[in-house]
Amino acid sequence: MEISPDAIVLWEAGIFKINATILFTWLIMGILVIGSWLVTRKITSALTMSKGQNMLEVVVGGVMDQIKEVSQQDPRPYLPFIGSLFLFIITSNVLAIVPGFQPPTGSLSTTAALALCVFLAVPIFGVRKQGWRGYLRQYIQPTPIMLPFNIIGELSRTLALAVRLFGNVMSGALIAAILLAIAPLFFPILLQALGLLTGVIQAYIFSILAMVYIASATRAHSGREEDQSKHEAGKGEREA
Amino acid sequence: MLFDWFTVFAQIVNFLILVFLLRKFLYGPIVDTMQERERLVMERIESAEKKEHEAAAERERFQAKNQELAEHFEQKQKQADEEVQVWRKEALHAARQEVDVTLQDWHKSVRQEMDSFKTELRRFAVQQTYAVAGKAIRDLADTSLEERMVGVFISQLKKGEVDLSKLKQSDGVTLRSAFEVSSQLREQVQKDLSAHLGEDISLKFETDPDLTAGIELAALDGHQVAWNLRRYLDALEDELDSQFQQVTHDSKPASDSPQA
Repeated sequence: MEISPDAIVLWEAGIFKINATILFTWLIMGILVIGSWLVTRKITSALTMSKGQNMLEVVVGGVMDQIKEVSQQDPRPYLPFIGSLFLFIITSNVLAIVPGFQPPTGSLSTTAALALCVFLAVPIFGVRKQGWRGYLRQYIQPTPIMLPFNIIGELSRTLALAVRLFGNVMSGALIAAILLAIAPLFFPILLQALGLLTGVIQAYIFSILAMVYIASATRAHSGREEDQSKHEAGKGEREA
Repeated sequence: MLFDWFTVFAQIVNFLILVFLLRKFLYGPIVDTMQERERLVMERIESAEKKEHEAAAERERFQAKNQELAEHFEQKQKQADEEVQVWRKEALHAARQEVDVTLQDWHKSVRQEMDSFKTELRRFAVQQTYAVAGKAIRDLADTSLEERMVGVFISQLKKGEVDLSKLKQSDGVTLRSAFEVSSQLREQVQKDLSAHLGEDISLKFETDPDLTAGIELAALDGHQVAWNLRRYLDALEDELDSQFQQVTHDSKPASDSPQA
């Protein structure tokens, strides 16, 4: 039994190879993109809509609400990144109950890739929001002594992000396989159901944590801006 | 091996592609549609609120109008009531006046009728008295009484107590008597008149029962000298007339007062 779908190599040419992780990732991408395209090609702003559009609006609206709740900012700039993370992970985890499907999130390569994306997205959004100086100043807050700890924290949380998702998904699949060998009749079904729940929760946790990291890099700027505007308002009142 | 660098790289690329595609096919259209719908709903809500405000304003306007109409109606009713009261008073006054006028007319008419009746009565009484007196004298008098009266006339003529100056200028004189004057008395009269009026005076004798008793000398130019009872009867009539008028005038104030 393979622990990671990376090991299931389907095609290889030099360093290029297509393994089960990549294949099932493409499958998930295809399902998501084609499904979205099928729904949104007949999209309407009327009050009555198709069931598919209604479902997608519920999902997108829910993601936007969560982003707004966490970041206290306009969710639209973060929606494609956070939403794609959530949809990809949840689709992958839910499809894990399909026999023969190897969830890409059960591959440390995939979770590491996603965690790296988050790792890169944090400074990108941070710099875009508050500039290089503003973003980098965070690392010497509250004192420059904290710089190494901040950097370690940045790296460790990315690692934790990757390993948490990988561990949960991989363990779920592994436990199901082990239980199938021990008690093949009843327990695997329960564990599969539990795996579904775990998979949905993990998708939520991964996305929310990613948003929390990005928000922490962008909100400092907003906070300072608010402080500054309050200060200026107070000054104006005193002058008046 | 749990970790494969190529797969990591491939998954990063795959994820970025997925982000791009989902942005194009999912988030963009869905968010735009949701915003558009939100805008439409907001517009509808605003429109509904606007209409609600308009309806409220309209309702207030109608309520105010209704109240105004009610007040106007009440005012008009009050005015109409007052006008009716005024009209009633005026009509009552006019009716009373009309009744008064009618009553006065009726009183006047009654009074006139009474006056007329009294006048008639008076005239009738005078005529009756006159007639009774005349008839009595006519019935009781005779030729001798008349001759006696003519005798007294001649006697008065002789004494110059009868004024015949008005008859002097006339050519002829007619002597009217109620009874036939005897020829002897005619001659006596002719003689005495000729003495006063001249020798050439022509004297004519006529009989007129209306004279009651006595004589009347009438010239051709209309002048008369009367020596008969009609004069007394006329005086009696005048006296009765004046007495009746006096009685009528005395009774008028009592009858003038309106009997309400």
